[in-house]
Amino acid sequence: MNPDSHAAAAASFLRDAERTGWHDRAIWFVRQKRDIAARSVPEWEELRGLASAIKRHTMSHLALYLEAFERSARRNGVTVHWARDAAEHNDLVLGILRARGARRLVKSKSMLTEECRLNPFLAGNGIEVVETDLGERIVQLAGEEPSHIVMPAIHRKKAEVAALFHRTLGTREDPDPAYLAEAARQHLRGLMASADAAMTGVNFAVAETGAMVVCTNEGNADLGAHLAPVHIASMGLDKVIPRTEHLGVFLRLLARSATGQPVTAYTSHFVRPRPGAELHVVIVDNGRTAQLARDDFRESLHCIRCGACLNTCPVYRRSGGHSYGVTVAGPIGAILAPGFDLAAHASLPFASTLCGSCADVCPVRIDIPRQLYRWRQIAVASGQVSWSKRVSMRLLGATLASASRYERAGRLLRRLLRRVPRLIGHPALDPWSRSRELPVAPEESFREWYRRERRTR
Amino acid sequence: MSRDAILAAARTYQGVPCPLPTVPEFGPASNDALLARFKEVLEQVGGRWVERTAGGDLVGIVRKHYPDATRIVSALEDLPISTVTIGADSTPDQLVRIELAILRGRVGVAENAAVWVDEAQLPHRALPFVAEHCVLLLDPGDLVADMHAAYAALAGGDYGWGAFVSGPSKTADIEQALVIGAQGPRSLLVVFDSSGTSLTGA
Repeated sequence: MNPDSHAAAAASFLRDAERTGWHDRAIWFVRQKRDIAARSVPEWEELRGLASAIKRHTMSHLALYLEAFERSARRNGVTVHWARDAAEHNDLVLGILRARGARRLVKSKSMLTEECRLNPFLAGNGIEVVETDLGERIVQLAGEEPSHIVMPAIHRKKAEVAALFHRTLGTREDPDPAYLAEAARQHLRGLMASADAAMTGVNFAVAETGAMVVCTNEGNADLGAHLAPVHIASMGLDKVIPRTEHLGVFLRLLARSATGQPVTAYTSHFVRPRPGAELHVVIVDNGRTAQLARDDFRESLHCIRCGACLNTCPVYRRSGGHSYGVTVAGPIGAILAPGFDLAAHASLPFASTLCGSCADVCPVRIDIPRQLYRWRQIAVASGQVSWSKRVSMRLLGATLASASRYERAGRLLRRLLRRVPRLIGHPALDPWSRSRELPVAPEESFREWYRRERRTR
Repeated sequence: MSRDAILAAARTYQGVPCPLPTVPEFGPASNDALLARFKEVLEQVGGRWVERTAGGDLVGIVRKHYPDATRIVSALEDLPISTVTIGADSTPDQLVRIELAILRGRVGVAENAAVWVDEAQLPHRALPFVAEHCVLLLDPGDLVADMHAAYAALAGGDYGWGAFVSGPSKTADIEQALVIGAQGPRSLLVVFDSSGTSLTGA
């Protein structure tokens, strides 16, 4: 609805300059670790090319691979469910939990369940939901959304976590991360040992074998899934890959791109249910086949959710994940969200300088800047930008389209700007100039100077 | 039905068919280089290692590294050090009180210090995660260069569950500060064991 919503939310984040700088540096540090990890693999660029080609192939045979995955999973004794949208996904999960009389559900990190707003839905239906990833637990206890797809609580300082744990877990107010992590460990292990059901996301689903691969550093996905009598895995239908050998390509790219680690501490392959336990998978569409239908944006479904494009993005680092107002923030979120609801997220494709850094680091080589640019065109064509931007762009377009108009406009502005320096770039009228100063207007343009010089020779 | 509607939509919109690329083999390395690389990366990810010399006493190695552990589960049949017996029907309460798990890994990956463990070598899937500390035995002859080679080495294996384990459990969710020992093991010791002799020593 509000065409400036990202800019407005970012402005409130930027009010605390000290925090903005801290956030920027913390996330840039992760980008630097990614660079070191990527450079340690001589065939890095070849892997990116392979990953992109495997995804492109899979998306062009998506139905085939989804059916193959379903067959394999069923053969393994896994119960397969399909959900067209978030509501159906949530109902299915609640149905599985109710059928087993489950009261407490432990969850490892899953951006899909965030997207589906599963937690508030289950809570409203009397299920106690416990996020078991430390960062997810922090934002859950704080009543917030994750601000980053890999580091959910990256926007929170340790003193704030200490105050939060003091209030919610009864710890002393000690900001030492080791002390806080230990407190969370005790708290979460107890909850996981007494859970009635566990949920995980799915990083990769192998069509050939039915294996569902889940990557964590904390070991929480495995602890939850191996201790509870029921394990429900939720996967977006874009997670399917053809064969086991393709895992080698994606796993070499994922953690290095995400955090600069050579691989996550745990890369778990769930194939058959644990003896005596149940294993369910919910395959979710929720707008993904609609994105598949869009030639210009199909490639956005290749994303493996590493977060590298967030970490490198100068806009993300200085505006914070919450300013995007969507589950998946940053450049990739800015090309995914308009596909869900253009009117609500029309400001996101403009939350970019189109510098192209996201495309440079993307492990599956998604051309994010091109798609951002394309979404901007669609947003403008469907009237989803503010009138001031529409009018000024039309004016600028007309001026730049004609050499004589351009020259006349330049002359006029140089004269006016020398008299009224703030005529354009007035902070009240032009948000671009709020933190920038225009240079002093020169006496003449290069063309005028050139013509004068030629005359005098 | 949602299944059919989703598949129909996918079929309609999947675009121009693109070929599936062949994943090539990337640079093989000598076995010595693999071992050195594995050790280096294992230290980077917070793990430790020790080599068991021919006829060396594994129980002695374990006792030296974990002198205080009393609730020990060994997944190695011929290692008489277990104090707790775990099976598929063990309860979460029993499992979370395990202090030390001793397991055998099947394949080690030099590029990322990951060690493959699966159900076939474990009395319970939760064991590598619930234990406070974890010891992994690995034959240096089972080292491979990278993840491509690892999956090739595992091909044909029929497992209901398996995982690559690279170092101990860890988190950096609070201000990017690395904390070893998140929800899972607080330490991981890899024992390189090529002696082929009885685990309790000559």
